[in-house]
Amino acid sequence: MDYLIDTMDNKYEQLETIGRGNFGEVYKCRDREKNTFASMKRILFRYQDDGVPGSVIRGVALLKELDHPNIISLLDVLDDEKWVDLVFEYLEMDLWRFMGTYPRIGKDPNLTKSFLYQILSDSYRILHRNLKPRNIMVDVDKKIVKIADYGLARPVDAPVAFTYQVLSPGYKAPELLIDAKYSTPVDIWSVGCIFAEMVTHHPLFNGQCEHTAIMEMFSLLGVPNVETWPGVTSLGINLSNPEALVSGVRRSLSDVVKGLEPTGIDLLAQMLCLNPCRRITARDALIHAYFRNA
Amino acid sequence: VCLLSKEREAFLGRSDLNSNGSLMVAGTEAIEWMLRVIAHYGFTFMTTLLAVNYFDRFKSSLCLQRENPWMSQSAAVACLSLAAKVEETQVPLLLDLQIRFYIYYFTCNVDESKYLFDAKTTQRMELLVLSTLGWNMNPVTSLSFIDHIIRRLGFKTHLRLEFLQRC
Repeated sequence: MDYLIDTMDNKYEQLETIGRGNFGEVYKCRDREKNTFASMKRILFRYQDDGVPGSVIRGVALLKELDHPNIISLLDVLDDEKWVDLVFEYLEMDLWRFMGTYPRIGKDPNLTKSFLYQILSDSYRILHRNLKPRNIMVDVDKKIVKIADYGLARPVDAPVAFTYQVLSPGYKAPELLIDAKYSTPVDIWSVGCIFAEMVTHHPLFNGQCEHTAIMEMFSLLGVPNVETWPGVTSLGINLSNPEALVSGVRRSLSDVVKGLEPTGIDLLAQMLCLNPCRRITARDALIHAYFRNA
Repeated sequence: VCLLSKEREAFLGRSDLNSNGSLMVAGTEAIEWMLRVIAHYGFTFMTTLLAVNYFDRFKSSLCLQRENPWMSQSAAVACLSLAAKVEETQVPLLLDLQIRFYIYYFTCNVDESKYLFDAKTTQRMELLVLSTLGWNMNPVTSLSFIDHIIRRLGFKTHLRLEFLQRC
């Protein structure tokens, strides 16, 4: 079976390792022909008896179908007996590092607006569940953001030492934190958190555990009740003593997210609606007044 | 429009297949085997559709060594295994699929067709099928059209699912 011998070593020059996870490793590499960089994610097959893992087959097939300017694209798939290499377009900077590296440009209101629009225009196509600044890549020159959060496309599974960051509930919607049923509104919530962070360059919620995260949400957005969120009482939060669920001084969104124009605050409030059924959809968010003068 | 162009991609090269008699026979045999295994495990209709689709596309897009039943059978195992992994929640091990395969040929007394592939060989074949099909494992099939039409008709989700299950 000569045709199965891989040719990757010729096509791509492997450079440094840029990530490591329980699936395998991520390398930065150079396309010898085009002289461009790419990132290569190597996924090892653990259990030889099962052949190619189903998750890999479905994951790659899904990536193949996605074709959107705001999604990191899959350039190539190379296979070997013991692994597959997924070659993705390479962007050096994620949104988290971008905000740290360019504190001034990063706070430009028009850039924030543009980035938010780009993230929203893609996000309704798929359920991400885990959107956060680290999973959004930035093309600094072109001012384009690309979501790199499609299962296998996730650039770096955080190393074990940082698991707290993966589990950090900072961008997770309330219905995810309380184990309720969830769907695409969870992504709108995360995008809302990212939106606020792009304005202030500080995470909106820092909660280290699910309980403190819920308290932070309720302190900022109010404790939900049967009117604002029908059925909330059956979701396992004890709402009989609302005072116990808030901490610190009550502040409004406009106090916390300083410098955001009023239409932006309105959009943000609709994205951070605790009740997922009343949360704004990506489609509606894209035609919100905030984007009108963009 | 998008569905139509995608369907064309998925079925490219059909005529090629028909023009070669021996390839057809080997193909029919392999598909027959796939159907038996599918029936045995109670796989869904979608799995059948995918397995046959992969097999057809694989045979027509690759210059297989003609008249090589070994290749044809190995491809059938790989295609079925891939389809099951894409579509089913419970997938038997490669070797279990193999044993079905073996028993089928044994009971049919087709002496020359008794091939048993180890997991490693099947995995290689899986990879060959995957790369030949460009990893496009969710092809547009007749079911996609039906689904699209039902969506357009505006049925409720559970009605749609029920309808699809009956297809």
